[in-house]
Amino acid sequence: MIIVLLILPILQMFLPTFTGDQFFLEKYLSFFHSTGNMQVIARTLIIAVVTTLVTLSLGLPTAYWISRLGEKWKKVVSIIVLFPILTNAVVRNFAWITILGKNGVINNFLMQLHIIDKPLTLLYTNFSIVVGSVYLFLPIMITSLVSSFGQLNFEVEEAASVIGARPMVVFFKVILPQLSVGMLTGSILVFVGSLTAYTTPQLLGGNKNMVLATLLQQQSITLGDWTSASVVAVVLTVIAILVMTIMNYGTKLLDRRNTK
Amino acid sequence: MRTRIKFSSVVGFLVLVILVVPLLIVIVTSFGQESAISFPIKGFTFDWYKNVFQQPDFVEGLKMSSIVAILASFLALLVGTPIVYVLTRFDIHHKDWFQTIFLSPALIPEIVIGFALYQALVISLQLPLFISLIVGHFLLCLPYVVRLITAGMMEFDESIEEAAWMVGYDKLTAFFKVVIPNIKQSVVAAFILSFITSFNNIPISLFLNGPDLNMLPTSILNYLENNYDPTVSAVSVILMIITALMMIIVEKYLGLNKLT
Amino acid sequence: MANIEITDLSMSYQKDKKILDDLSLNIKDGELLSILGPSGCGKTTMLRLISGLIPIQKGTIRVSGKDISKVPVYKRNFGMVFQSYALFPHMTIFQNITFGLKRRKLDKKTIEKKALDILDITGLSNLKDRMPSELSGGQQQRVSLARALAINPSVLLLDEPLSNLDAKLRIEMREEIHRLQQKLKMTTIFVTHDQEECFAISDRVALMNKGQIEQLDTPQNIYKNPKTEFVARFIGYDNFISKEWAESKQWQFHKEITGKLLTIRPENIEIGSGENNLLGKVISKNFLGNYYQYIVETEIGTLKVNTTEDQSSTNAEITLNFPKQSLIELEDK
Ligand SMILES: Nc1ncnc2c1ncn2[C@@H]1O[C@H](COP(=O)(O)OP(=O)(O)O)[C@@H](O)[C@H]1O
Ligand SMILES: [Mg+2]
Repeated sequence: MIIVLLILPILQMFLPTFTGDQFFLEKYLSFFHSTGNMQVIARTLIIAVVTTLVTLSLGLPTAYWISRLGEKWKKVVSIIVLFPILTNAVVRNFAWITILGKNGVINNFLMQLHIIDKPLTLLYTNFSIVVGSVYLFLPIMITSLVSSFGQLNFEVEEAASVIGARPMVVFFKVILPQLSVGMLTGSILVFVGSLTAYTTPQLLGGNKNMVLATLLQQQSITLGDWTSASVVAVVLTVIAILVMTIMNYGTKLLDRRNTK
Repeated sequence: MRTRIKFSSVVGFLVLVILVVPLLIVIVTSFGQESAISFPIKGFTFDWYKNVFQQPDFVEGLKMSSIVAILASFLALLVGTPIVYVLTRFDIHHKDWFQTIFLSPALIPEIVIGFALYQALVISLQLPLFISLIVGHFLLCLPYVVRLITAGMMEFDESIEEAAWMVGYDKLTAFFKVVIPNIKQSVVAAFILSFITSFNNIPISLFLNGPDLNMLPTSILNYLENNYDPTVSAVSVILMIITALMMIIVEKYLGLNKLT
Repeated sequence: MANIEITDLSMSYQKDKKILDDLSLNIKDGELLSILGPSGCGKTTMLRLISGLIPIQKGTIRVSGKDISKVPVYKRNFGMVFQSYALFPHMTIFQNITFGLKRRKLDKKTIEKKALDILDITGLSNLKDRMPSELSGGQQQRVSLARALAINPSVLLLDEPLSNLDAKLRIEMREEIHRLQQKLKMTTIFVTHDQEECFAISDRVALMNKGQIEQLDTPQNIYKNPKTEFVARFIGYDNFISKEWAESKQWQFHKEITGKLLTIRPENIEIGSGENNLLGKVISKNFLGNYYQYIVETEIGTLKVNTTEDQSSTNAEITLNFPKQSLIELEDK
């Protein structure tokens, strides 16, 4: 059933893209030849990388803090983290429109303080896409980090500090290696998630700052060019699966090293 | 050590604030009297909530999204539970292979699933849009079902099922009378998670909606493209209330950690 | 009731790795037969083949003369007690016990009466409305037994039913099983790796090793006359002597010896000289409650000697006597 419902449609999408008058990769060659398209790919990847790095660096201390809270507070905080995950992405992105927009919270605030006299362009930029993506994926990163902090052996940390290691040294030399699997798992979710996200770039990126997902939508629904759209879809799928496979493999390697 | 704990507490607390404040701003703006969203608000009104229910797209969308989410989750359970049962209980060749196939919808970017299904089911096979929509959401939900039910089955002692066979129940009856009641929690958790995932989905619905087939999130998206008024805030608040209700129900009957 | 004939039963989970190897065994009607053997020797596998939980690959199992290989597990009407008890967690004790009865064409009254009877003879009457999670291990085990007996099975199968209980409860429960089995005269197969537990209650014992039955006999005979080195070692004959060496020392035997190996229990070796002597040096002495154990180094290796009285001390040079009627001959393998 899965085969009929998913694999076949995917194949049907793949196949037409591999036909050409001269060469079966013709459509891909012309796709990759366009600087516009390359820009879109680059933007998609950069946004995903930046989002992952930002969520990781914000998520680590947060997860560490949560895992050291008492049972009761831990529960309260977990609910606060879980709530956005279960809330619609439109809602969460819309919130940032009201914050970053021309008459949004930030511009209003800065103008009232007379720090600026013309509203800043915050919305419909790469910056706003990153902000929205970070906001979207940060709770997911935190959740997966917290669960790996849960398995963390705090005794090792205490042992290290007993023998006199400095706090920062303990963190980087003792805690981080134990967390690497959790970090990778979280990063896979965030990276692939932001790589393929549609809603955020659509709402916060506007028409100028296309990513692969919005390009796919534009090519197909807006322009009706189904073959080009298929090419975009294939490129997006391949990148996503490639990234997932590589990172999963990395996780397995790390896992094996840790359990040794 | 103390410096690190302080540092992580500060970051952790700030992150929580960042997670919560945007949603709070949305809530506040939904009560503003001005027709453009502003913050802080001027005046206080419930009019925007009234307006939500005067938008046929929102009302119909809410209905349709609920129907699709319920049907798709139900189907995913109906198909997923026996699959998981067979995969965990019988010695099947290439078990990993099957596992990957059933989790595969999670590997394909959602927007690509929507796009591929639109081409295959709606255009090629001329299937009604509604059916295709259900198929798409079914594929979306299946991996969640497979993952949660597998976890449930792993915890369930196989000999309990065998004991039922020994006292005279054939495998099918034993499945319903002994296995299902004991993995009930996972089944319910899978249903709720599927429901939320389907209800919140945009990329799949994007391709599979039409004039008479509006899903709530895509309706909001469309509305946002042409309007920017507190109606969106109000509908966002309604969605948040639904999320909160779900979380309360889950917490009461299952415990929230069942969902992650 | 029923007798069971197992003929040439073989089984492997993976190719080329036989778990059961042409195993044959007859269980008489109404007897309690134990399968005793080290962990991993295939006891559970054999029980699961008899119960029908796994299909027979090769060989036959007949119950009361009828081949059961085609009878599905749920139609065999065998009772089974699992190591993990495997009670239905979502049912009360009463429901656990009536679950199997409900499957049979009986009216409500009869079911209730049967269940109450079983609860009564297993001493569970006052627990009948509890949930399994509210019971102790011993009580859960009783329920598991009651559940198996409730369907009035033709054969009762128990897979290490006592291994999750503490020592005191273990003795109590094995007596309970024994009592019920005697009362109901039910053909019973009791799987265990504990020799004491099995000797205490069995009519006969099948000692199993690497998928084969090494010896099948009454507990007394197995204890007194182990047939093979494996059996001897398993039931505590720790000392082995080659016949060739014994003959070279002009040892005497109570009958003619044809095998190559002799064995003797540690408590049967005497300190002091007698008919079959051997010199040795005590390298350690341990007080073990009701006896002393000496580890004695001799020219044929390290031997274990148990005595009830304190008869020597570490480093002492002593003479050991091996009374001829205590020397047991083992079959060659
Ligand atoms: N389902 C199975 N798949 C593969 N090997 C198994 C399975 N069950 C048992 N075995 C193997 O068969 C051997 C005998 O197992 P078992 O019958 O459970 O032994 P016992 O009950 O005597 O401890 C063991 O080596 C075990 O690893
Ligand atoms: Mg066993």
